[in-house]
Amino acid sequence: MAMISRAAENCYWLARHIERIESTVRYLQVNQDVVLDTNSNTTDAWYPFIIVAGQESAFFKKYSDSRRYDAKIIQNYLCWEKENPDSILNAARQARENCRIIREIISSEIWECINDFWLWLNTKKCKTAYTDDRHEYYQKIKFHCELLQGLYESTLLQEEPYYFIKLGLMLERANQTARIIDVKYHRHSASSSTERESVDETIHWLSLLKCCSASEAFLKRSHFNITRQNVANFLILEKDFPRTIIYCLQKTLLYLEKIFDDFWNQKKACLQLTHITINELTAMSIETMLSHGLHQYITHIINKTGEISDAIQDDLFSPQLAFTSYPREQAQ
Amino acid sequence: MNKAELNLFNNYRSIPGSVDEFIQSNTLKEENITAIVKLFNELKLNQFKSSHKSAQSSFQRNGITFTVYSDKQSTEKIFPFDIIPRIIPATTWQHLERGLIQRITALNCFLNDIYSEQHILKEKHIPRALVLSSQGYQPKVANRHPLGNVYIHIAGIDLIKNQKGEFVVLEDNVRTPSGVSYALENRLVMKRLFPDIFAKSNIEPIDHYPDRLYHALNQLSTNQAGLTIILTPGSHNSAYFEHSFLARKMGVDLARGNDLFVKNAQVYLKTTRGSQLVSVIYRRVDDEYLDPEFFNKDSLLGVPGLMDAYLAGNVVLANAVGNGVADDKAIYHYVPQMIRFYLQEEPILPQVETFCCFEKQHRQYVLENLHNMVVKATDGSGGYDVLIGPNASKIQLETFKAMIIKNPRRYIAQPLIELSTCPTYSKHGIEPRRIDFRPFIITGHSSWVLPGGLTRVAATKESYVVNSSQGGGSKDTWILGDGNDFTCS
Repeated sequence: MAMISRAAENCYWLARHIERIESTVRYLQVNQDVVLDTNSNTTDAWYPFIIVAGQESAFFKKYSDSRRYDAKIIQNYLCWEKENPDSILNAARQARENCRIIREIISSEIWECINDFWLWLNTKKCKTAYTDDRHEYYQKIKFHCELLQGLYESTLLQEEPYYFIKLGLMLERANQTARIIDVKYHRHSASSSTERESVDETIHWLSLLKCCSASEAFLKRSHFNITRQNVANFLILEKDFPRTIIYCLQKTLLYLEKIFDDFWNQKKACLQLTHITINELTAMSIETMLSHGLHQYITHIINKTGEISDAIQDDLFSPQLAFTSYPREQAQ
Repeated sequence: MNKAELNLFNNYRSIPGSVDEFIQSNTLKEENITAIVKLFNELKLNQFKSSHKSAQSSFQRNGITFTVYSDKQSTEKIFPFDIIPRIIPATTWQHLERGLIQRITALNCFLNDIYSEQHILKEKHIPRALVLSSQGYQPKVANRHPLGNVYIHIAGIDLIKNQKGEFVVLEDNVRTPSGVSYALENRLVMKRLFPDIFAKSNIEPIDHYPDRLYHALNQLSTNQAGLTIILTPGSHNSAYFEHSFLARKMGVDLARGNDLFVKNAQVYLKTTRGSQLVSVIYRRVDDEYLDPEFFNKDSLLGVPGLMDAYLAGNVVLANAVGNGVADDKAIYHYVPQMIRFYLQEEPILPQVETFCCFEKQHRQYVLENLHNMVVKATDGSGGYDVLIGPNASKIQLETFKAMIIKNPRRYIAQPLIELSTCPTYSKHGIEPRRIDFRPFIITGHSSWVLPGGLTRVAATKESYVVNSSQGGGSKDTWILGDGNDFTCS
């Protein structure tokens, strides 16, 4: 079934915004615990999240340099800041707006869930939860995001709107997982010489797993062998867990193939790029990645997902899309 | 009705001089109304309050909103909804139905005539200069009739009840009348809130409107293989909820201008599977923004070439192009003449006495009696550009006087009609509010009136203005079924 190209873009962004919100909430919540458990001075406890969100320059446009250590300001920036396009509030607004535009395409359950979420975010009750019971605030947001993922699966026809939603979700998730792995790099940790420091190291790696809802799954596979190598290996290359980079990219490819299937005869850039990225990943062992430097490698992956995203934009949504190049002009 | 028995309506006092829909139903035999009023009256005010609250939150959760523009900001608002219905008995309704179809038939004949032979002008039933100077008159579509000769596929005719308790036509809307989505949503909420009263009351269903609309438009299409779509100006339009609602309920795509393109006088939709032929467009875009090549070269909106496809008969545009000449508020005055001229019938529905400032004698009268009249701009809508003489300040009166003298074609005047009132829930309990009524008429091969419609309610006890842009709300409208199957009396 065909759908209006512009509406396909709304589906894709709706899912991306929601996934971004879920990821933000999860790392904020996990980090809250980490800060309490480790003796890492709080100076670099929060700022890495600004870096991996790609928000450094925007943040310093608004705040002075010393604010990089201000836990309160940073959390507020990620949750509420009007000038941060990806703040939870802004991402929710955009998700709802994308959804409102295509109410005739998605299910009414999805619309009601997003609208409900948006209305709640704007209540006094929500603001009070943020100040007085942060856990409740996070839980409620996660609840809505998880509910939406269930609704994608249980209320939509498995055709194009669904494919575009899943495409957006998977690509965003691949990107977010990569960014979360990179958080560790931006913490100024010395080598783990003392016992306490090595405990901290374990807590940090475990926290990254938690940020990806992957700690329980990881423990089942690696039997408490929480090392940098094992965690990185799991989050990047585990094919059977739905938040790892390889898993998300393979699903990205799957939905791109469903969208293009046999209809488009020419090879599209976004498909090829996704293919190449997956091949690169699977061809390399974790030891090789680590020897190149994990940060360098993750940066490479983040750039690749960005390129895939741009290619999707050009191939599928661009308003300049020349409709003369469409393979047929036939009524169905 | 014995007021001492009243419960919900215990302290209800109607406005002197107005007919009240519930209290003074003495002009017609309306036992069924009385019986339903009794059912409502058995409710306690507290029950009522919680129902009201539940309705509000349901509208908010569903996002049943319209957009209000003020300065640069636009805000989404819930359309205020009142949970006391307005009730119309079967015999009144049958009369209205006949009258509405007669009126739409005549207006459609008028459009066919104006865009071809212009018999009605030649025989001097309507001043030629008045018609040709109408903002909505589109000489470029002359002699190119739409498919099936149907101009008015969807009409919303505004009715009010006068002091005598009879329905009169206040205004015709034959371009892009809105409001039907609220009527349908209101009904859903009411069924949820008062299932028992519904079960006992034999109320005509209205849910099949989208289905009727879809089939009426498709009847006229010459290409059954093409898609039916709704064309919207975009998500910032104040009626976007309705566009989206109708697309959902009709199961069709909701497109914007740049989702469409025209090639060889055929319209196509840009989809993820290439272009797809479009054969029916329910457009909620004004004439001027349909096609920049045809109407307004500077406009970035619209679909270049759309008018070529339309004039070639390759696509149904609903409503047709050029309908504005038929719902011009000055031409409204001549609709009874149209009915007599084209149908050789007497008008079934009366209409409000109207003075066209365009005509010298009328203008003189209006200027002398401005303080007693309601003045409207012929091209205005949404309750803007209206002067209510008796409530106006001296400055307002002077301003309108000057505007009328400067541009008489643009103004009409009517005596102030005491609109009927209906009990309405407010902070202060149940109070009377003035109401009007917009039924919807769909025309394909034949015309059909939705047995229901949008009853609009003024915001305050004092107000005569029911438009949503002025804070007005709405009520569900219950058309009672024929026959004596009211089970409660």
